[in-house]
Amino acid sequence: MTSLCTSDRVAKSLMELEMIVGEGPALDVTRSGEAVSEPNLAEPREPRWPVYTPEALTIGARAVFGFPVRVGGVRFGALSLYRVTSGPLSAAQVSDGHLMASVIARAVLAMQAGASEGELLGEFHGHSPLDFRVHQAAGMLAVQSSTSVKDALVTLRAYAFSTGTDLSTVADRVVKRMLRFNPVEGGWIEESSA
Amino acid sequence: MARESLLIRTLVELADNLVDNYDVIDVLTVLSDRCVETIDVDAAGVLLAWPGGDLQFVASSSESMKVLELFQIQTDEGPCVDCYRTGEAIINHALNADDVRWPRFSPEAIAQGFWAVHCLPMRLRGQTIGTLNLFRSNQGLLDIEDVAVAQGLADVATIAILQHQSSMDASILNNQLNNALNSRIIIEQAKGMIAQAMNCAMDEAFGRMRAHARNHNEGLTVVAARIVQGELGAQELDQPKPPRAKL
Repeated sequence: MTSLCTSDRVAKSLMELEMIVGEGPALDVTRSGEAVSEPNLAEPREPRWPVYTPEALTIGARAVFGFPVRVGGVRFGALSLYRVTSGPLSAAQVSDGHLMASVIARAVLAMQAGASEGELLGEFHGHSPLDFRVHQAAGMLAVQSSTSVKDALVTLRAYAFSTGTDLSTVADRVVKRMLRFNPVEGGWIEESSA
Repeated sequence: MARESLLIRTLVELADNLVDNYDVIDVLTVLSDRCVETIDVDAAGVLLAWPGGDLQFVASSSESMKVLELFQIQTDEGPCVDCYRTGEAIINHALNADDVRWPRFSPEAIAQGFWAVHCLPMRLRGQTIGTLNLFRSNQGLLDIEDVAVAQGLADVATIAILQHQSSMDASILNNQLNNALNSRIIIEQAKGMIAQAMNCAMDEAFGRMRAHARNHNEGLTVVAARIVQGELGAQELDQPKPPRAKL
């Protein structure tokens, strides 16, 4: 794991610390896929991270939180947050944490698919995680092209961007077996209407 | 089987399921199936509110029910949406093609063969966290006992989500909802992989995965995640109805 970007010096030091000592909230989140919360590093309810915790306190953090950056079974990493005062996040803040983590995951997918600025925006407006056909189609595509589901999610988007088609529409056609991907034959194949 | 004994069997089955590390989606799918068997309805499904307020599909007794639930979410219109917004149950609402209340939903539901809808709020301490939705292919009225049973099952669904993992504070509820919703995405990804590898329909892909999870005493989401991560091949899944799992 590497730290991709941080908001300030403390956040940067915390991420570096985690990479060096090999324990901490972001690593736990990435391993378990579950959100992690330590509202009081100075007096933790359950002692964990024995090496990380005293160092994190020295750096200036009093509470740390981690949210999984994921799309279904595809795990990208973690969104780490810290506070200079102790205390839990409110329910609304937890919701926002998950929401931001989901925005990050989808931004990563869209950028890997070569989205332009406008298309990146469309990623957040055009459809939602509600559209399960996209996930079903990604699963089908992963098997068709012998890749991971993550790569399949990128491939689906890349096709939607390059053809100017809505992602849901592309997914729908994959699920209905009107469109398939064949790596040997060099890419996307339209099935003649059955 | 008489309704009382069906209901007792359902409650025992659900209580049996609500132990240790159970799978929320699995429990809610069982619940949807049992609604169809114990109440006089033809399809059942559960929607949950995404942290932030949008509804999300989590479980249903059939793929056509799922399509209708997704349709409501997409068009932001329909009985489930209204039930969630108001927190009030909608009982015995007969549909007609030129419905003024749900002009887009009603024709769509009728096209799928449903003529009456019932939606029950899943409530926790004054907050509505989702809805249990029951659709019928005829317009006959649900009797009062059916309504009571349905609300009871909606409450069980609420408990299933809350009990998942231990604690009860509000921020943990949001984490649990988020995990339940992400589980649903994992399952859809795995269904796509199975449907492609085994050349079968999505319903059958789901059935295979569920049968495998049952036979091996594993959570549905655990099995789905292993498929998505490439640790378990679609071909390695058990057949849908084997008498006993191979060891």
